[in-house]
Amino acid sequence: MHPFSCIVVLSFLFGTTVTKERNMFQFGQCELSGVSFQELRDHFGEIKETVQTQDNRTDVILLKESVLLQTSVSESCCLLRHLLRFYIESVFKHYEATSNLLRRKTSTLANTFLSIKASLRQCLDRNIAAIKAVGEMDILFAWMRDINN
Amino acid sequence: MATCFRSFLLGSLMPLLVSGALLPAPQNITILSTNMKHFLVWSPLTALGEAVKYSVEFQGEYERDYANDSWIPIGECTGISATQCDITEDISATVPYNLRVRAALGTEVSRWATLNGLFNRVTTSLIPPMLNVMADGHHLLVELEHLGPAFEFLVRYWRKGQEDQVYEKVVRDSNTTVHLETMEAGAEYCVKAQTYVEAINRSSNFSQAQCVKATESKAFSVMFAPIFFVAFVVAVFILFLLAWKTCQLCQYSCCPNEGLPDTLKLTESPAGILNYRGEEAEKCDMSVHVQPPDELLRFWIHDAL
Repeated sequence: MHPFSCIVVLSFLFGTTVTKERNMFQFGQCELSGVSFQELRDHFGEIKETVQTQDNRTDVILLKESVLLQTSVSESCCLLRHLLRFYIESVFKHYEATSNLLRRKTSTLANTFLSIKASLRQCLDRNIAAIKAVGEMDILFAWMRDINN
Repeated sequence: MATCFRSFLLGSLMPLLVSGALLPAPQNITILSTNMKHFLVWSPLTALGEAVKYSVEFQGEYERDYANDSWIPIGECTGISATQCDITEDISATVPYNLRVRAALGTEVSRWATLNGLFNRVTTSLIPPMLNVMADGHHLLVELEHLGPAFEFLVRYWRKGQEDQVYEKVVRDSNTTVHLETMEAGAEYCVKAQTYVEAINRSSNFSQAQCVKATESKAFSVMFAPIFFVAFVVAVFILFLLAWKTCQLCQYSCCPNEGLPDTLKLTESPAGILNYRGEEAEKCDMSVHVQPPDELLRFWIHDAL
């Protein structure tokens, strides 16, 4: 699967659990300002066609809109922070731009993601998150067992 | 003469370059950033003339921290003679950017000269917008300077003398003329505006207030109002007269003022005609007088007694 397929479904990421009030966006407990979704969509719009043409694994969808919609508002801050981290650390890193323009546009997206991520500081402390993840490992084991039965 | 001087300089510099000495790097690299338009400018290597070509690269926070400290060339500013580069398209995230320029002459290149400090577009100078306030009849209109899709405008307007009642309007599309208010006759209205850029969550200062008065078209209508009123009254009178005359004409031709004989109006029963006493005298033949039977009887009894 092409790592940049994620970008294709990027447009679903914004405008779902967002409530806007006086140029301030609220993701659960996190407040986001200084972000223009229109600008983000415009940047993505410039590379969308090229990237979607390169994506030949149309049978797989990585980021389902329904999953994002099911997320409760209180969890949206951390979900967004983790998604942005995933894009910054895994997606953009493995995307090899085929032209100078494509490289510049993906750089803009990556840098914008960094600026948004920096505003989502109120997300759960990493230690608390780790304790939670370890504590919930039984769910993972149950799923591993059940999927083979 | 100038060409001679340039070839002399090139001639004297070339051995240095060939022998390994680097081309001098561009100096005085600065950024001019106004209203979200950013330009990188540097001093030209004048001694070498227009043969020197410059190239510009940028590096965002992402490239610095997550992409091996890499730099991205700006295609439009690669191998250019000009000593400025429009970097607006690439500085489009609100993170600290680094920029660098180098000169090239033939196959020789200078070292990269880096901007002193990082540039974040949040520091751009936002200039109060230019506006054109107009009064079209009693409509208060405003035209705003077009600054691109990133800009919104907050327009404030008030009636002169009523500064405590200030109205606000947010304008997102500055391409069209905006209608603000329907003005009262003879009143003066003032308008000022500021720009707002959502991407950096910053606003400019307000522009100077511009005031307008309702134009003469209003005064014109006020001046001619009595004439219009008199014309209206005359028109109503003439119409009334015409209607009355028409009514009269219709009445004489269709419904003449001549009553039907009462006999023709009685249709209840033939016997009723005999008992009816209303018609004392026949209009067409006054000599004939029909006596009802009971009257006759009364006369007869009266005579017999």
